[in-house]
Amino acid sequence: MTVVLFAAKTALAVLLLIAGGAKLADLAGFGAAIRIFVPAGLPSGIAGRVTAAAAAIAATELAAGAISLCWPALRWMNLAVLALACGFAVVAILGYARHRGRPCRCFGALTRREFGLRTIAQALLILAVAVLATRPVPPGLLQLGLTAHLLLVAAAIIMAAAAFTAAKALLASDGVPLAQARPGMAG
Amino acid sequence: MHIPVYLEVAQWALLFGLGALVVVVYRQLGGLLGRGGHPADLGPVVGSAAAPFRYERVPGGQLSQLRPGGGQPVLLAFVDPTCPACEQLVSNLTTLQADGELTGLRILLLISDPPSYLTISAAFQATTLEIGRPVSADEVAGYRATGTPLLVAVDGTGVVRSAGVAREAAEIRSFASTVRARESEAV
Repeated sequence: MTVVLFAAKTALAVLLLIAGGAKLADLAGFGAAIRIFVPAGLPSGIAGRVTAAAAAIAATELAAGAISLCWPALRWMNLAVLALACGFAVVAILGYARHRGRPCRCFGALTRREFGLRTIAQALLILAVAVLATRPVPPGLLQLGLTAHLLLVAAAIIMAAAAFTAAKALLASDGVPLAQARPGMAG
Repeated sequence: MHIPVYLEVAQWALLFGLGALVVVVYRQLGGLLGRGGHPADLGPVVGSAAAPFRYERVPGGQLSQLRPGGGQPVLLAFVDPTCPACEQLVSNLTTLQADGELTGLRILLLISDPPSYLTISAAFQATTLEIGRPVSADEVAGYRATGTPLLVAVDGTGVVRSAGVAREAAEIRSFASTVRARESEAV
């Protein structure tokens, strides 16, 4: 059971590192996805800070993924990741209800998935894994030495950089961004 | 040497994460480059006749019809406010038209997003170009606008002279020149 809990925790951490790195590579695209959730009546000063919000969300995901992976003994981090997973689920459900068929850019340019049932299923799966990761494990198993921490930090940086580079490569693959999937015109 | 269980699990999670990244990049980039750098199913066939279609003017909702071949060349831009590259295309089209570089061409921006989405994009809000939303996806199926931004240049006889992904001013000039050249030949 302990291995399953560790797998849940590390899988979530890696997922957050990939999502954060990919989003950071395409802040304009992720910002566009955020903008559809911004109410039209908001002052332009607030609405105009979408790119900053996109950067903040990407940075939060990166930080949460890195800390969760590298300092597994911090139990409050499991709750922080759970809170993030709840946020993903809310966004997926809201996106399905109000913006079905629009790109979610949950993984930046790495996916072209749109808000739909699959996005909700994916978010609920992440939520379930996050709940599992909050289960307590014997603290002694999570005590790591300095070398292990440093190795994990290096691995987290490499993972985030790989996701960032992959997303950038996809964006610049032929000199223009990949054509965005065009939703159906019904409705 | 004893390796903590957590580290063993973490290394597998990281390995799977990197593997997933490779698969994603291979599927997207490999598929794209294998087709010559552009999605093969994007845009109408150059040399084919552009089909007429009905559209709702945005804002307003009045029903209009575009009948290519009426003597005036047309630039059709399939764009959406949720697509950052489309914003760049719209902005450049607006500037080029204001500068008189697209004189003689009819320019029509065709969106598939609901009209309410225009408020999320400064470029769409600022443009003076005509915006329309096709009445049905079937009527514009021949344009194969499966992705955005897609620019289609139709000459005065209703024949598609160029089509593809575009966003830069130089690309727009190039598209415009393909229909202008035909007009010069006709004269």
